[in-house]
Amino acid sequence: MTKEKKTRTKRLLVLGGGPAGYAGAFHAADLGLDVTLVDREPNPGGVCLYRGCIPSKALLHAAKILREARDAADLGIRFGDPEIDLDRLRDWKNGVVDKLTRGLGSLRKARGIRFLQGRGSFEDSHTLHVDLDDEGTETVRFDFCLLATGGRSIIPQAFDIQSDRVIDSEAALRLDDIPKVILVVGGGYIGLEMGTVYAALGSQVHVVEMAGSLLPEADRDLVKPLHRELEKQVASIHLNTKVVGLKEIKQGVRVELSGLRVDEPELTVDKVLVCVGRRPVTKGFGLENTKVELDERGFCVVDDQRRTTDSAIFAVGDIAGPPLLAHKGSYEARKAAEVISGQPATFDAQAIPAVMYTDPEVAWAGLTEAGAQERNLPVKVVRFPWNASGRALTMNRRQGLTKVVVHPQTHQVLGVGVVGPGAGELLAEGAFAVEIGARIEDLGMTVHAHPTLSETVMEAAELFFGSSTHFYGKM
Amino acid sequence: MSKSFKVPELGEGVESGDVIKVLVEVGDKITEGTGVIEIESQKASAEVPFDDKGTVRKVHVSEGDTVRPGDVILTYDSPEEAESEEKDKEKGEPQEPERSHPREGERAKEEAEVEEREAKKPSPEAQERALSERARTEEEERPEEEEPSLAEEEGGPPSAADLGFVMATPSVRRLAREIGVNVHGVEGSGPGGRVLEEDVKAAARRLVQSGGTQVRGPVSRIRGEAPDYDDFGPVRRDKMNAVRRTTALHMAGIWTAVPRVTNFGKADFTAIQDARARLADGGDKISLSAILVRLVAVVLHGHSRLNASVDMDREQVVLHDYVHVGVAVDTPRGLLVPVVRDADRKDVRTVHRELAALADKARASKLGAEAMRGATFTLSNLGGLGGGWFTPIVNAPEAAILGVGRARMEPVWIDGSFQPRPMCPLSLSYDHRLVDGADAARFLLGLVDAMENPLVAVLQGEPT
Repeated sequence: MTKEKKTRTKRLLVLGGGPAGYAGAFHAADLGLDVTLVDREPNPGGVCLYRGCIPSKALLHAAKILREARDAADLGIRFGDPEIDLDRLRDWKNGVVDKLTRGLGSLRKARGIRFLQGRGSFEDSHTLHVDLDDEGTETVRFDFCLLATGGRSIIPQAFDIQSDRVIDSEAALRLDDIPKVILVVGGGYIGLEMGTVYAALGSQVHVVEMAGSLLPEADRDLVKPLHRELEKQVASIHLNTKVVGLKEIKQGVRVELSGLRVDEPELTVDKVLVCVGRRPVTKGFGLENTKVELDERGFCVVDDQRRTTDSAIFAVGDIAGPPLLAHKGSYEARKAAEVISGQPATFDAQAIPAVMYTDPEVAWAGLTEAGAQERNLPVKVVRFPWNASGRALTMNRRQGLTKVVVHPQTHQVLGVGVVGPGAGELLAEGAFAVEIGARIEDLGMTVHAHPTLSETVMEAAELFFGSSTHFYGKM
Repeated sequence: MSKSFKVPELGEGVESGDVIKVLVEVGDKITEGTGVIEIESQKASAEVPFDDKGTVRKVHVSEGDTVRPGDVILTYDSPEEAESEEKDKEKGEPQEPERSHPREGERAKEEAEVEEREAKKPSPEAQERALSERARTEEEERPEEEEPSLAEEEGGPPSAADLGFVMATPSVRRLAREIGVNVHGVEGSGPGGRVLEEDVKAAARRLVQSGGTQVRGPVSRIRGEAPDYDDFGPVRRDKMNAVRRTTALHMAGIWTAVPRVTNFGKADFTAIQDARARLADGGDKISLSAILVRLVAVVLHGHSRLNASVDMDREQVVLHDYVHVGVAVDTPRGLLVPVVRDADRKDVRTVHRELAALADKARASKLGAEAMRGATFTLSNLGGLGGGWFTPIVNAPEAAILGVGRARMEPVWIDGSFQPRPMCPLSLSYDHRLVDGADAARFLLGLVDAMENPLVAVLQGEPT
């Protein structure tokens, strides 16, 4: 009996079916583990697919069409005012979500992964009790657990005024209506993406941000073109500003602002969208019955293989620490699955891309210029402005910038940043360069198609050596 | 001001040791030669003698700590300063003890600074953490003993490597992980210092040749870690001692890097037993191991490939003009291999005396690291315990190892009849990169011949 136990397949429990959880579950199943996935939703997908990345990108696509149609006037093409069929738009967005999550459901089945829809709770380091959605309970014993419970929006207490006019990003994505006036609290990427959507749909959008800049973690020179463009899209952007009062009245919500340059400290809005950040979900499912420890910010303490302080439990995705990005979680989960299956894997990514799907997009990977300064690392930064790019001009979008952060002695590409339409797609080359430890001349000596925006990467690289074809002057 | 006394060099290539005993307390008056701590490092353990005179003010290490050369063991007041010291005390804590409390400060530092910290002899805890978090395998030149200044402690600007960047593709990084090399410590030969696949492989080879003692990280961790023994019954867990750890890492490294072949043979021990008995009659009790060491050393003279090492970096065969025979000794702490130097030039009495002294020291944990370095061939004699053939692992960078079992009476067909003869099983393992089967067979035959006809061996032996 003992012998049988020793030789049987390792049982892996995956708690949470988001991009970290399902990627880990799929990979583990492919590696031959006996996998059980527990999630609240009928299909894998998590916040990303159901209430985050995917629905927001669907809506941002619609917003982009609206804006491009309007901007076409510059080129002598005039469309009439758009008619927005909100129900149809919502159905289309939900259809996208439905198609993707169903697809994941069949991928899950095809891999023979057992699925329990319900709410799990740890009894100890090797046992999870599941309250099934379809009545009944089930107890799952496992050898290893991949903890992928994700994150949720932070709603500070001051905003918790028991009003359905105060919403978070998940509610905003439901697209219940198009508010006339909406206040977005938080100038991070979620707030700006949602603000962009609602502005395109016709809302009057106000943005308040506590810090002195939008997207505080991005380099200033990447944020500037976005800020300028956003000012055309939204009614106001208040930096260094806080919401100090919030009160529901008959016509909406009365908001009181306090900040450096606030002309009208009082504002009445239909909706307040709170996007001040996300926090890991680590409570309410018996984690205290395991040996998993949390750090002071509430993330699971993990090593570079994503093993927690409980040797049977690995944590991946949002609960394993920043950046709280789907692709970081997926990669972590795949590495953890490999470790569990006995491979010497480790999470050692040098570049985790970050993409803000605003218009223009802001994207970076690897070391930012500010990050280098903060850590006192001498770097050389090369910048190629898009007004020297033929492709950007043909798109009627000259506001853009491609920059590369380079080690001055070894020429290693340490970071790449882009602002401009399509920056997220353009970033892939930069992320690859950072990940493989490419040298700046490797980028410069790769022939790029003309005319494309990707040429800006090559030309930025050429600037490192002082000579770029389409840009002349000081960097 | 009080002075500090630090961990001295522990021997060439020895990077750290475990404190197994603290021999002094605060307030003790100590003089030159007083043992202050007992350190167990790699395969040796030894007392660290004090080199000054004074009163212990504070002891900075405790039992179980891992220390490296340069770590402060204790601070003390030397007699001539003791008086003025009293006054300083009233004014407040002097800086020295404060700073030699490296743990908190070090711990707070970013993991990214690991490399830098190592160059500055970090605290044992930070070191342990660094080792467990990032496989660290590079042969690192340690700076000479010098007091790190405060400015140094703060550090200059970090390098890209400090921030975790390495100029190597993910596939090369994976290879490094798989073979237990820390890619952050590998010097790249590509443009701009790019770490190439060949660099990682070369680093692995160097590791094995240097004894492989630094193979750490995910590879060894995964192998060592199995799930839930508790499922099958109660278990107990002991921390590996330094000998066990070193043996584990060294053997795992050799196992993966050295293509080993083992040839088996048998020797008629009649002549050796006769010789031993005659020596004993004359008042010389000579151990079997001593006789074997002596015979092996003599026979090795005619088989230079078995007394050699591989240097793959330079693609060279290193032929040793000396014969130093390592002898495996079973001790309470584990396997130790002290070395009998120039065994080919010593008479058997001398070999016996030296070997006995080395074995005693090894069992009493008094063997220094130097006494275990430089062997060109190893002898592992399990005959005292019994047993037959086995397949010893070559103790790289040596080329071969001889395993000896217990001689048993067997019928041997001699001149038309079976005669009872004490036959001893011999197992010769060798590094096939260097030694071919025919080389090994010739050596083993030569050895058997020498054992069965010791006189011939002596007569044929090259003059030394």
